Amino acid sequence: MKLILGHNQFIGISHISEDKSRDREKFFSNVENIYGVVERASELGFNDMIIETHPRMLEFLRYYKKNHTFDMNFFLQIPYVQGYVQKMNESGIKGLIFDIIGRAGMLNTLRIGLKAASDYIKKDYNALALSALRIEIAPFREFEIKSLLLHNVITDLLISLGATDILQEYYDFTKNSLNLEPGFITLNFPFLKDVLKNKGISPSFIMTPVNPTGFDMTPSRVTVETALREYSGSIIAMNILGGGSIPIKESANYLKSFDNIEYVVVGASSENHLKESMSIIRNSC
Amino acid sequence: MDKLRVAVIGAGKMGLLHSGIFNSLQDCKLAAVTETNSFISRILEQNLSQVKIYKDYHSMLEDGGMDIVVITTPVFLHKVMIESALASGVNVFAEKPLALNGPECRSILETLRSSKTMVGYCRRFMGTYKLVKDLIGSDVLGSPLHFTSHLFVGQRSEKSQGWQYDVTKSGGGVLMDLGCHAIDMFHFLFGKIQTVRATGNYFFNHDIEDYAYVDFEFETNLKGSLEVSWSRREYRIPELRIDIDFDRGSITATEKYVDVFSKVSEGSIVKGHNLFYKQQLADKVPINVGGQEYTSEDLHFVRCILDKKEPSCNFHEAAKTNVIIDSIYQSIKEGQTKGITYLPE
Repeated sequence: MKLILGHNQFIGISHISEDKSRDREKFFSNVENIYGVVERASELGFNDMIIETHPRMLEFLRYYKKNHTFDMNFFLQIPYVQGYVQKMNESGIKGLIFDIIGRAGMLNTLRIGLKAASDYIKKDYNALALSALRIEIAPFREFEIKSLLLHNVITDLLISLGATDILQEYYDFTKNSLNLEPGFITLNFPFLKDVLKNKGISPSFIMTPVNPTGFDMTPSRVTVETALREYSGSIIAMNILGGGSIPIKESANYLKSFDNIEYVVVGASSENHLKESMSIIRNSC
Repeated sequence: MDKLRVAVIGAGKMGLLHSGIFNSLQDCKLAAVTETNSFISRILEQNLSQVKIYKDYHSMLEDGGMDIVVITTPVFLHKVMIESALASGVNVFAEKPLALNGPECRSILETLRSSKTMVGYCRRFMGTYKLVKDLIGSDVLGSPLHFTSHLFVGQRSEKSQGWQYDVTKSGGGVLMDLGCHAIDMFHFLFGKIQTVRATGNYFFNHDIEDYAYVDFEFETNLKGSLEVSWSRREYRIPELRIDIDFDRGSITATEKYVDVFSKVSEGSIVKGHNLFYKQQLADKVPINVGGQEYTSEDLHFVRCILDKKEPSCNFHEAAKTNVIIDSIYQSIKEGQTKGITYLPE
C-alpha cells in the first residue's frame, strides 16, 4: 500500500470546519508553503500526489518545475467543479468559457477549438465536452500525469442519470486520444463497479472513500466492503480518516484487510502530520 | 408497485442533481425533463434515451402520467409553473425559495388541493442541524436564551448580469438566494418569528443587496441575529453558523460540526464540551450525488407521498420564509422594526 499526498488542504478544504479551511486557505495561498510540504513528503517517501485543475495547483506546478530537487508523479483530478460553479454564479456560462480559455492559453484553445467547432456542427455534444476537457488539462500536460481522475460529482451524476455511455466515452478518449491512464472518483463504488463491468471497462484506478466508520461509503459500509472484495482493479482509498474524525491507527488497521487498495490518500498539511501518517501506515499495512 | 414517475423542469445544476437522485431511488423513475435551452436539451436527448425531453412544460403536463414534478427553474418562473403543475394534480417539489414574495405564495397556496408539496430547504436534512433540533426538543440545555448567526459565502465579487441581478426576476439579492436557508432554519429550530429589524448593503449591483444584518424576535420572546453575505471572499462554500446560549449551556452549529457545551450530564451529553462531526451524524442514503442531504430530502418527499404524510417543509411552511423576507425588505427600506403577516394555514 503506497501513500499519495492529497491536495484538499492546499486549496483550503477541510471536512472538519470552515475555520480550518480559512486557515489553510491563507497559509497555502503562498505556493512556496505548498512546495515546502510536498518537498518534506518527498523526503519521507511519497512519490505521488493528487492535484486538481485549480489555478493555484497550476501555479504550484510552475513553481515546482522551476525549483524542484525531487520528482513527483501527479494524479490529475478533473474538472475543477467548485471553480466552475463559482464562475457561473458570477459571470454565467460565457464567463466560464473565457475563464477556461484564459487558463489554457489562446494557442491551445485555437488548436483544440477547431475540433470543438466541428463537433458542434456535427451536433456531437459529448465529443464537444471532451474537447473542453482537453482545453482544461492543456496547461498540465507538461507535467508527469500518472492518471486522469474524473471528479466524483460528474461520475456519480452520470451513474445516477443512467448516462453511462459518457463514462465509456471519457474512458476511451483519455486512453486513446490523450494517451493518459483513465480513472474515476466515486462516492458510490458498488454502482460504478457494476457500470464498469457492464461496459467491459477496466480503469487504471478508482478512488473512493474507505474508512472504518463508513463515512461517505454509499449505500452502506458493508455493501462497499463486499464490492471492494469482489473488484480486481486498483483502488485508491480516500477519506480514510472520515475527514479527520477517525484516528489514523484505527483506519490503517481497517485498510489492511483489503488486498486491492494500492494507494491511500493522506491529506497532511504539516511535517508532523506527514511523519505520523507515514509511520503508522507503513507499520500497519 | 409501479414506480413513481418523476418530471424535472429546468436542467441546470439543481435540476440535474434532483434528476439523478430521483432516478436512483427505489420507488421512482425519471420519466421526463423539460429544458428550454436547445443546447442542453440536445445533450440530454443524446444521453438519456429512457427519458422524454420536452422544451415546453405545458406539453409535458398535458401529456400527463407524472406523479411528481420537480421545479428547479429561476424563482420568477416558480409561481406559474407550480400552479400549472398543481392544477394537473401531481405532487410538486420546488427548489428554494418558494416564490418571489408573499402575494405569489398566497396565490400558490390558494391553488393547493390534495397534492403533497415540498421546498428544497436542504439544511433541514443535515445531521448537524437535526441534532440541534433534537437537543432543543429534549430540553437538556434548557430554553434557548439568545442566538447569533452568520451565513457567508464568497461567490459574488463584481457587478454582474443575468436574472439573479434583476430584482423583478430574483425577488432580491443575498437574502433571497442564501438568507432564505437561514430563515427557514430559524423557524425550524425556534418556532414563529414575530418581528424583524434589518439593514442592507449594496456593493456591486444597485437594487440587489450583497449584505444584510437582521435582528429577529420570536413568539417565545427569544431574540437572535443573522448576518448574511455572498461576498465574503474567504468562505469557499456557504457556512451557516449558529451560536445559541441556553439556561444550562451553549451550542455552536455549522454544516460540518456541532459543539455542545453543557453544565450537566444527561443522556449522551456529558458535562463540558461535546463535539459531533457531520461524519458521525449523516443519514445513510441509497445514492450520494453532491451531498447526502439532497438524497435525504428527496427520499423524505417520496416517503411522505407513499405514506400519505405531510413533508417537513411543505408549501405552507416554506411560504413563511417568503413573508418574513418581505418584512425584512420593508424594514431595510423604512429603517423600522416590522411585524410579520403570515398567510392563513
